[in-house]
Amino acid sequence: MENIKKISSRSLVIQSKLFNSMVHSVWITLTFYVGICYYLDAPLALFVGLLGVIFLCPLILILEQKKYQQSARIFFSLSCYLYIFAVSPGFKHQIYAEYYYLPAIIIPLILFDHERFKLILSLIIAGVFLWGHSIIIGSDFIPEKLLATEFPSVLRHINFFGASILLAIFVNFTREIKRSMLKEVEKESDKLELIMKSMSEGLLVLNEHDDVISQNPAFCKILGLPTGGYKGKHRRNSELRHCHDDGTPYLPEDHPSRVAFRTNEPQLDKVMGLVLPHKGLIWLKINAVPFEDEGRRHVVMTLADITEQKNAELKNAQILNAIDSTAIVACTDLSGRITRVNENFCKISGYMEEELLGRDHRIINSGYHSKQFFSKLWNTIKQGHSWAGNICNRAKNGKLYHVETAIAPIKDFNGEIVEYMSIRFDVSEQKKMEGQLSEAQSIAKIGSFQYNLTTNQQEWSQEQYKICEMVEESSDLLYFHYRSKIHQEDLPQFDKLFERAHLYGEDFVLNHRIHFDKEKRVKYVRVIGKVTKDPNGRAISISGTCQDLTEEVQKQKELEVAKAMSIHNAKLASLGEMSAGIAHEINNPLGVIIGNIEMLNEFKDNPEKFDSKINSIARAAERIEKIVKGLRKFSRSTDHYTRSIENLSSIVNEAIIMTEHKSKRHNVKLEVHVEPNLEILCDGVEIEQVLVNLISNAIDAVKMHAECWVKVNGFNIDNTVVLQVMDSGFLSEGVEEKLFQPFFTTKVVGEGTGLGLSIVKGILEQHGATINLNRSFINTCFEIKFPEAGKAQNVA
Amino acid sequence: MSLKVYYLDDEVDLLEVFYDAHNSKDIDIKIFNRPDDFIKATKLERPDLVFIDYRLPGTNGDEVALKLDPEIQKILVTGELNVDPKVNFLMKLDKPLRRDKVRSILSSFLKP
Repeated sequence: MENIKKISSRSLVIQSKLFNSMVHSVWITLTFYVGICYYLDAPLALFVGLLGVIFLCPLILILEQKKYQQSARIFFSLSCYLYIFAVSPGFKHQIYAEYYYLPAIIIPLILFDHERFKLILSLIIAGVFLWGHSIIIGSDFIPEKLLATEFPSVLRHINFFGASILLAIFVNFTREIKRSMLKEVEKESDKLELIMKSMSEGLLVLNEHDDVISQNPAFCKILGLPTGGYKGKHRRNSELRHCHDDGTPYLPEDHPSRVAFRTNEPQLDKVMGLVLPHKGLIWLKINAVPFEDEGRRHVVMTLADITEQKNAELKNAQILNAIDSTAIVACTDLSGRITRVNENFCKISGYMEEELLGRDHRIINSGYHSKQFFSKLWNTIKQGHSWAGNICNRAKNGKLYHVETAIAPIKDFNGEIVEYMSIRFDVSEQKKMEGQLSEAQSIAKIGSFQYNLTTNQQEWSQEQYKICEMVEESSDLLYFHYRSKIHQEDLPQFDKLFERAHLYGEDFVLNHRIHFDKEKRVKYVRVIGKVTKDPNGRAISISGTCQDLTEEVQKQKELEVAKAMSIHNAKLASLGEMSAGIAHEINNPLGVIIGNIEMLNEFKDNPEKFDSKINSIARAAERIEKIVKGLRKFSRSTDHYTRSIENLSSIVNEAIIMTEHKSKRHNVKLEVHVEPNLEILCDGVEIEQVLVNLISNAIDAVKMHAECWVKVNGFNIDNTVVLQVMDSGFLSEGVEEKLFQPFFTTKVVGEGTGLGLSIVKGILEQHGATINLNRSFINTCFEIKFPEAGKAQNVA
Repeated sequence: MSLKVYYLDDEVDLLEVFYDAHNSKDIDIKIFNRPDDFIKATKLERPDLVFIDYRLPGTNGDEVALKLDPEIQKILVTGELNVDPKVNFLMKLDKPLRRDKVRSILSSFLKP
């Protein structure tokens, strides 16, 4: 730093020295002049003095500038003495002391730098010479001629002494000037030092041997060196690896400092990589400017750390390279003429680069988009905005391809657009897949939607528009359009779920109706909404699917009707099977009635017998009524569900009426143990049918057995109503899985349809009840569990 | 001698009506509601004519008829819609039995 200060203030020092040299030369010339004036004629003295001024001044100036300054001083001092003792004509008489004590006074002034010391020494020498001169003047050796010259000797002494004093004061004054100038230099140096310290660029001064003369803190910081840095060391002693932009090593002779030394030309903006052991590779921008200081050559180097800039440039270059290698890139001028295309552009379009350059993009226009589309595009980019969208282009071979395109205007420093750059990605496959997906959605009748709650941006798939019977549009009102179509009865539920999704991020599923043609036509849809949340758990978007279930619902309805029909048919089948027995059951009491009526006249006179017959008729009629009622109920169509809380015991009794004739016929003992107050929520007729099926099956299963019985048990366990239909038979292992499947039967061919148990299971499932084979009994036991009446669910 | 007629039916009321309607000095009606009793009775005293109900507890008219003397004249009585008896019954009468019809049948069996 000190050296730099020194070097930088060198010019001021030189000015100061110049001034000194001038004073010295003037003084010596004056001495010559005075001496010659005394000895020679005045005109000649003037001539010699002028010669001294003319020749000595430049000589002294030259010598003062050189590094032999001190030698020059000694040389001049000796010259002065030689002048005194050899040149002075009064030398041999020792009387012209004033001619040599003046130079004697001057010599210390010249020889020594210390101001006071040389001033005092000069005064002492002057005093000594004055004293010696007084002695000489007082002697007889002084020729009269000379003593009688212009001035009295006392005045001469005064004159020379005073001249000496004035001279000393004058010399000191010059020193003061020099000092003040140096102070100025110091100030300037301090400022310079502050600037250098505050510089972000590193600064380094090298001599021609590449030794580091000086450096600033920024240099040490950039290179991660301690405060001392490289000062006093050889630059090339550092074992740091240098490299060019492209990574090739920097030869020592190519270093900007060496080149600057070699060529004596400034080396500016040289970029160099430097591998530091602790920081890795850093990039520097170096300026190396040669200069000379006191005849020595130096180079001042500034180093700017451009690592971040370089890395950013490198990254940008890599990004651009990556884009260029993966994307389809093209540049156009302001009129839209293509100025650059990359390989990918040529590849996808099928055109050679030469065919594209100078043409506009109409060469690949597919005609897929309207003129308004491109007009809008151009308006956007001309206004300085980027445009992004999907464009369908046509390749040279006529094949269409879709590209996801971003077009950005490239601007200069003044913000003026200079060209347009388009980056495209081939999305033909994606488009194809989207088409397939759309087709799949169309087949599955599933639309999809996305609703950005933050930006209010909404997107629907094609199928979603189709389901809602709307024309595709880009609108942030899609949600409201959809909501307006929701059936009034379903709207509160939809609003509630959507609000919860928005506020609490809850996903939702809702089956609802949307209406068309002023509510004349209805579609059934299932909407599934999935909420995306930000890290704070706030809902930011809702996406999901909307499935058109209309056909499914219609089919379900048809299926239910068919199912009801099948149940009804199964009942009719049961009725058919039982009809003989039922007929018997009816014909018997009918026979009693008819027989008794036919005999009533005969017992007119026998009131007791008459009453007996009447009572018999009444009982028989009641029996018929009961059977017919049961039949009517049993055969009722179940195309609609009538659920009510029913007493299980009553239902069982009805079922027994329908089956007891069968049990009787096959001599199967039928036992019923049902707790009286069991209540279930059900369609009584359907449950009766279940029981009739089970009991009838049980009778069939055991009728050929030696021990044949059927038991019906009903009880309550843990708020569950349990109904068991047991028989004396056994079911082999492994039939449980098939038992409730349609068309599975254990009966001999022709005796069973195999539909009974599957219908039983279906009916019970509709009631939220279950039926299983209870294997904890040795004999066959079907166990039905009904939910408690209050908890029964309508699952139909 | 009166005509011995047995009637087997599990329906007691029907038996009573049959008895009241047709029992007379010429026709001796005996009624049974259990097949075993009926079969035993036929073996003890051979009836001239039996009426057998088809649907009986633990058995049917066919099976009962097989256990009877083949010489006994048998009429099947049934309330069933379709019965195809395997035994050679003299006839099949559908329930409800009409008094006149039964009477005419019985009359035809009465000895002149």
